[in-house]
Amino acid sequence: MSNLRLINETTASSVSTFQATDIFSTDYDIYKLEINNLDLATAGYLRAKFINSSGSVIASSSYDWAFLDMVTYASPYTQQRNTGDTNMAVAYGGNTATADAGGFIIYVFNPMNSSSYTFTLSQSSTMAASGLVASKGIAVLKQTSAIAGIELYVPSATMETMNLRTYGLRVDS
Amino acid sequence: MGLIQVATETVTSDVGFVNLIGTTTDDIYMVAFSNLRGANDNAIPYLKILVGGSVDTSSNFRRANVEMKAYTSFVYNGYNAGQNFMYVTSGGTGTATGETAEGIIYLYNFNDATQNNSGTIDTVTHTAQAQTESWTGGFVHNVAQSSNGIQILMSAGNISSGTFTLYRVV
Repeated sequence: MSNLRLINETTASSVSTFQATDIFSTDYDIYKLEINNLDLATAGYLRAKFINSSGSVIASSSYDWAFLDMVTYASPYTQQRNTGDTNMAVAYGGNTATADAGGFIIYVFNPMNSSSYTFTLSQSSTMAASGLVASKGIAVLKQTSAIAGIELYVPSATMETMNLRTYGLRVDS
Repeated sequence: MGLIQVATETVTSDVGFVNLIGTTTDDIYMVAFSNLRGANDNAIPYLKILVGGSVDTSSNFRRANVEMKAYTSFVYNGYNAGQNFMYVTSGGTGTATGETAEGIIYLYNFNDATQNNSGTIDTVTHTAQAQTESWTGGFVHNVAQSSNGIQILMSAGNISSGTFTLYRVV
């Protein structure tokens, strides 16, 4: 049996904010989130906030993040970064054409460990109006709160379709 | 993608190194680690190759990567001269709350004696300076040999915490 365990799959349509709650537990330290078929009504950057174990979205100025945009047009590499932000910018979310839905992988570390910060590693491939945008990124929530879920959104955009699969990386001691 | 656990070690008190042994087939292997912290501020996690369970001390690591930094401009690196260790992170971990490293490492061609060992490293660290940054890139250990695992150690001092797991990708 694979140690990569499917925990949850959530699909949404025509939402401005996507929330997956109670997907993290003390059963795992590392999670793999797969976002597929993200189709946007308005182009923009995919952003995220964590949801604590009480169900509250964490929007304090406690996020550091950085990612590298790699594109097939214009200047090929663009640095994106911020510290003390109220959310995490994950990657370019994609363009609005019907066939432009993108894909994203986000690893989440230590979400339910109340003595550690919660970290992410991410990568993506999406279409922009002029071509491909690929990215690699990182982020941290500088709090030791127990994190149970995640909120995803693209500012001022509707997510026409959205699919999130959450896997846990099982460790057998 | 499936993952079959091969080896794991959880560190809760100081140890000099962690050996993950078991790259004994021609499959791709993945190492996942969390909550990695050195006993000393600013110590950087290193990776070394194990051959027959012993550390290969030869200076044959080449690397290319970007260090994405949330607080300042990114740094792009390429090093082709050969080193006897491989960086796992850019900045060092710290002893204060949250100053740990987390990551995913893929290992390629470790078992095949006709191929160099290579890998990709994606890590995120909140450093001893309370700054967030990545090590994102790849390495090759350009000796065609069969290697049976890796060792994780710190640039100085001990490892004080972390969970390290070696998976076979199926």
